[in-house]
Amino acid sequence: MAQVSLRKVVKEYEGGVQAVKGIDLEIADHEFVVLVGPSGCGKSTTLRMIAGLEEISGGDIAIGGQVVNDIPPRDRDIAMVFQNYALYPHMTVFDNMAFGLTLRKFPKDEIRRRVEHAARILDIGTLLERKPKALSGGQRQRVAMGRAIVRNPKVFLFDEPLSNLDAKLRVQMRTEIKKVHQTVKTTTIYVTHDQVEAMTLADRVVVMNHGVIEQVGPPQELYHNPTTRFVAGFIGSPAMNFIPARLANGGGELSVQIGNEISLAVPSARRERYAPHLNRELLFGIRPEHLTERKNDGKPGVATMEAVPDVTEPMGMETLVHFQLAGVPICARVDPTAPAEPGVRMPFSVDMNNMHLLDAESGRVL
Amino acid sequence: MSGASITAAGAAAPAYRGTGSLRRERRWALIGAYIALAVFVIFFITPPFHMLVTSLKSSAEIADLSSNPWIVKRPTLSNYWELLTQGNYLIHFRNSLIVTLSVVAITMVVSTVAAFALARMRFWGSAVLATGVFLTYLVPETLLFIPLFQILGGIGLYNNLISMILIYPTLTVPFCTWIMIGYFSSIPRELDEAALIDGANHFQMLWKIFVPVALPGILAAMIFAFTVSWAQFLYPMAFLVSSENMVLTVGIVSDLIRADTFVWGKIMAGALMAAAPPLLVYAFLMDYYIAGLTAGATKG
Repeated sequence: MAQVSLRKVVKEYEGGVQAVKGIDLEIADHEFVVLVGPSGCGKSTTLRMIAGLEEISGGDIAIGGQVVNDIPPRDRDIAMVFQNYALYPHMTVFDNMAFGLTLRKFPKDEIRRRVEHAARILDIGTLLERKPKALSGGQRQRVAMGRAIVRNPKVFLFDEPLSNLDAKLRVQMRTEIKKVHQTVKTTTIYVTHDQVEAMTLADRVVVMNHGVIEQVGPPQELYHNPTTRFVAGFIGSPAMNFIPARLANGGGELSVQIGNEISLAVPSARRERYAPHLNRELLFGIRPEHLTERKNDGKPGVATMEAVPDVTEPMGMETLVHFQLAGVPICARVDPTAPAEPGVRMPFSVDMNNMHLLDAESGRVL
Repeated sequence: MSGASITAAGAAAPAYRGTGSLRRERRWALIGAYIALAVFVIFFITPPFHMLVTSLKSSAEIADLSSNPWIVKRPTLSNYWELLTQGNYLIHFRNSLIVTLSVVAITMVVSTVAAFALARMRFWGSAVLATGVFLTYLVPETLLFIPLFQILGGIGLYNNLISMILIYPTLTVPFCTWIMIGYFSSIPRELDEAALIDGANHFQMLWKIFVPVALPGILAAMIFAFTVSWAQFLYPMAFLVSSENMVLTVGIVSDLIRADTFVWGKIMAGALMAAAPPLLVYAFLMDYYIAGLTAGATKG
């Protein structure tokens, strides 16, 4: 097991296209780090550079303190699980899992012991003599993980391993992966475009966009304290609402002005922080879960407003209400019993304790 | 009540008509397919059948123009027996086997390694080289045999079986390489990457992953190389002169056609027996050929 360091890592393809633009990242021993971001953000390229499957155009990658830039994948002591499993179709499950150990000339007894141990962890002991074509998608993914576990490598690399599974199996396998990490505790780097996977699995989440790291932090920190508009919008589902607004001062009280009609009081705890941004063009960020049906619970820092829903989406445990505000589409999360009907004006509570203000130009969270 | 039953019957009727029409269309399609297949089978089976009939006739019966050429009155195996016990037929058969098996072996080794390099290793000019390999296949052998004649004469291999083993791969390697480039390219790249991470070098990746996974493609190439080598006529005709060095294709022609005398019974018997090895190869390898080993390699 080992820590992984990325220092000013660059990947430039022919024609000068930069997929990764000089990223720095320190991953601690035993840590589970998830690289998340939209397609083309450079997360998979970064993972493949760590694996040695892509050459590095600039910077250094170190595994366990040793710079591995010029070391081939087989000598990096890493194991990788691919999106489409990449099982050897002509080999049995046992041979698939044993392949790496056989090439490294492990004794047969040791190979059998390790494969059976991994099979027990993953509950695939009865499948060892089957060929991959006789397995379901979930079973194949377990075998792919087993192939990684038996090697007992310094680092596990996962490249969108759950993307090919159906929604139910994905949730199940997500739990399995977390359980496996809790058991073997190997340093893990996991790539996904699914922010739910990132939030549920990671010790720390690395949000990437356009080849750079936007923010690194534990899931809760990214959720509550995003530093950029991209992170604020990417983490959380449904995404955070961003509404053009202005900060006004009325008799010493700061308020968020949306258009001419809506004024939402800023909690006193935030006044000092936002005061320098008076009368500037800003974006008011509020998550759907902090924009609910009106609650008369007297909670401090909660403002009220009214809007006419365009669409309601009952989800069972909650109802999503969509409406327009200052020309942008807004989503609110209300209790399923709340009287939300399209075309009927309804009152909302806005939990300003969880509000965000962003610079409209730079997208930085203030 | 009655209204309801009328409605139900009315609703069911169009569905029934639709199904019946589909079934009828399918029946006609099947009949058409069987007729087309029957025509093809008759077209392709007729020549071998005529060969078989002729090979079972004595020379006197063949020469009797009043008899029906499709019917044997007094069947005899004398043509087969004489071919196998007299003359050089067995020597020609052995020579054909030596040349063909050697050529298949050389072709498979060269083509597999070349195709692996061209399909998977990124190096300068690899794409041009892959196209170039195929272009060499397009040069007709009738253009090549005169310069080849000079080269083989120069290195002392004229009228030598080894010259065939050296020349035939110029016909088989390009096409086999091309077939295998296609097969290797269809293997998901993640399989190589998984093998690299598992600790395989390029040779192990080729031998332990690519060859087994691309077996259908390799067998297709092998069948092609075998057929081309076994049936090659022009080069042995040009470069082999003594009967004991000849392969079957030219051996039959040179030994059984003397001036304007055609020993038809033996020619047909010899040709039928010569057709047996390719038939066996096809029969044996076809199952593997259609096995589709890549199923389950990746998602799906």
